[in-house]
Amino acid sequence: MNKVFQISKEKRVSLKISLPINKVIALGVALFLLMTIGLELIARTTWIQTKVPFQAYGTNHVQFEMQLNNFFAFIEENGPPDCIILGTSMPFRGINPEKLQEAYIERIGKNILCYNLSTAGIHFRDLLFISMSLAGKVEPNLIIVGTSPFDFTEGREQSLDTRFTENAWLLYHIGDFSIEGWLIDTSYAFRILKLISYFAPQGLRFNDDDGVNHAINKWKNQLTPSGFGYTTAIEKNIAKPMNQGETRKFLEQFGNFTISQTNLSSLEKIIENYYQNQTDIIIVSMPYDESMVQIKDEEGNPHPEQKKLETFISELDQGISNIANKFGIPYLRPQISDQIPDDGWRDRYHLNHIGSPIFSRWLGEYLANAVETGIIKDPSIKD
Amino acid sequence: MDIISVKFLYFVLISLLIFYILPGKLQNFFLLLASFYFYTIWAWEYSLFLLGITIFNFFFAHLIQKREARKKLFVRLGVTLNLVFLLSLLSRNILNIAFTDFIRFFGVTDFEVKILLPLGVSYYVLECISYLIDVSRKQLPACPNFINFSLYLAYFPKLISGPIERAREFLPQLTEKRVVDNQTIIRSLALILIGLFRFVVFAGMITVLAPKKLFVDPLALSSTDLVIGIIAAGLHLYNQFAGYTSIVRGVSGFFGIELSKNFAQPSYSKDFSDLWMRWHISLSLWLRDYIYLPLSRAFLRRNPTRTNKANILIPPMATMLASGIWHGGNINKLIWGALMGVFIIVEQIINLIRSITPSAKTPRWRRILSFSILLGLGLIAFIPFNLSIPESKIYVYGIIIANNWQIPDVRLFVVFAIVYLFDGLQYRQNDEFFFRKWPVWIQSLCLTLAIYSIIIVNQFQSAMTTFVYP
Repeated sequence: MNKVFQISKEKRVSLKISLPINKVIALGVALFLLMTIGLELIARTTWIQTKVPFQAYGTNHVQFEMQLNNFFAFIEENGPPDCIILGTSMPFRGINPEKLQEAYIERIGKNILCYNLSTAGIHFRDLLFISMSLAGKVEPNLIIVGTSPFDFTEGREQSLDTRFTENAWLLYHIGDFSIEGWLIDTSYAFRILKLISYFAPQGLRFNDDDGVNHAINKWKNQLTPSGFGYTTAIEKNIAKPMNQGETRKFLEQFGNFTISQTNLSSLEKIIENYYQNQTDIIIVSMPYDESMVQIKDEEGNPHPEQKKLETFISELDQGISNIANKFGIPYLRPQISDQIPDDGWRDRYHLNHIGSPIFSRWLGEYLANAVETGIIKDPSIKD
Repeated sequence: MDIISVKFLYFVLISLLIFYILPGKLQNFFLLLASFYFYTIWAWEYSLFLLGITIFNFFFAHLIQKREARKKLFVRLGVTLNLVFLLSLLSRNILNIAFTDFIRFFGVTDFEVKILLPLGVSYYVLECISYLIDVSRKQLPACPNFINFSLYLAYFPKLISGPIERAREFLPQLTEKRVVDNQTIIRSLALILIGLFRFVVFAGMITVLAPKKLFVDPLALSSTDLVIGIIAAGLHLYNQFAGYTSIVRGVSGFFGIELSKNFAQPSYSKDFSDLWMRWHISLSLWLRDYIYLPLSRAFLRRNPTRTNKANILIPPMATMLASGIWHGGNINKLIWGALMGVFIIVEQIINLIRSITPSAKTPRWRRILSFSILLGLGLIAFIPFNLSIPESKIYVYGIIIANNWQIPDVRLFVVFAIVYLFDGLQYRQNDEFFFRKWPVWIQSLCLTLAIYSIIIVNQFQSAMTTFVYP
């Protein structure tokens, strides 16, 4: 049966469509739908899912996405966590939720379920975005934000990219609907396509040992079920001052020693969002080895930039302190670096498998004390 | 607003809806408003430029038509002013410095002159020039309707990257009654699909598989990669540009306006003269009609011998140098243009000496040799098209002197072969819609696979913009 639709004859250009428009299109659409359903069913089979190393969400950040996969698996197995640890690579390597829990239970006799959602190489601007998009999925009672001077350097300001802020899936969960966001959220087949696309920058070479495969293997070995980044690497030169090469690389990060305002204001916004949600928040300054901030010149004398570095750290500390005071939350600056043995450092500002339990236990004891003294509510009590 | 974007899709759909609701006399006006809106989104200054050029050329054409006695003077003046405008924009870097220095001479130090280069200006200025010349030649009357003339220049599907339309073919379409029926819709959809397939799948896969850092750090690559890389760069440009043109032709079809074909399987060119009838056809025809032929005629009038040196050398060289200027006006584009001019001159000399064999009678080995020479020389010229002179030297050094040959990535050859085959099917059947003669079920299957390919390779391309954080 031919239906003819004609929009007005009194036009210079008029439209005259008869249905069906074209058999090829009609059959093509039908084939497309069938193929889509078929591919989705195949993607959901156990056999295919066992081959997929992780569900990809389109950020091109392998560690973050494996972290996220672990997080959802954690929630499925244990229920939503009582506390979430947020930050960059310093808390990722430095706060072991299991050690934190051990110390907490020993001290207070109650359990606390924590997950470390920190991500290496990320910015606080991106953490804000991530925390906003996950807000609907999980509402912890306690947030621990690990900070470090290296999160707020000029170098960090200049290296901001859009992999998170323009990610369709994260935007979808903030309320910015898109077809791509919806597909990533609901379609197993589309997530597999996303994962394959990560191999595109390396020319779709799936057998290469570097690139994506290297990242997957690395994080399979280092990511624990509680989101902690376990590493056995040890900084061999911790007892010595930084050499000139290290010093140059270190100072490059700081540029003109201006504080990254984008990241600092994002930290404030993260705190504000959780504060408005009546979540307890603690900011903790992550430890770093003193040699990191005692930079020397070639003769071994204090480096000409030493004063600027000290001023930067002091001003940043004041800035974070102001944020903490504004919301009436604790800002911890543990003097714990001297308790970390020389072999407890992965490098001069990341802890390792020896150093992180020390710091994590300290934090667990602090939390227990904070609950006992009423600084924070008992995180294990659900509303 | 990129042509390949969801925003553009929404823009077209909404424009179509309004276009077909409006009564006939408002349709062109609406299309003009939509076109200026499209242009203003890029930058409002661009729309001012365009409006200024439109007003100038509209009235100048009428002046040319009315003042028969001073016609030559006015057309030369009009063309010159358009050219001065275009050339000053193309050399804006030099002018920016010169103007800034001039202002600073008067003690104003906080001010920096920045001349914008409006998107698409190279295209619509050529359209203006051809319009003035065609009016002076009485090939068409000066357009009496300012709205229609404005639409000719501003029409959004072709505004940014062409095709360069002739007023005598475009303007009548704005006044005649048209019906957009099933056939037009199918044809438009097919053009869009072919365009997306070229732009996303072919060009995208070449991007993914081609050697990385080709033009950034060529000496880090093998000689093989450099050769393959330059072929890939050429095919990438072809498929992006041809794909883009196909999409805009398809979009334009929905509004009942046909835009001209801009590519005709250039990989099947017999020689350089043939290449320029198959590559960026609208520009080639413009250069032929407004530079090459007038120059050739002028030189032939002075010296009627075909073998006269000036007749052989100057028209093709001047035309290709003009093309180099149009493509950017910097020294490496001029070198590219000069090389192309040399190749065409050599061809013409050979054709003068030797009788031309019809292509059907040309032995296969000669056709393969011709193709290889065409490809080799074309790629040599393509190097300075993409790189500055010092960078070009490094590139050529990497190929010839470094002598570092390794086994190439075969997958890229597969993509090259598929591109060549696709073009071949269009070429052999002399039909860009060669697939419509296939059985319905095969067409439908190809349609489905094409859509899937576009979705998949689009994801690959998106991933290329952000490095994978390990």
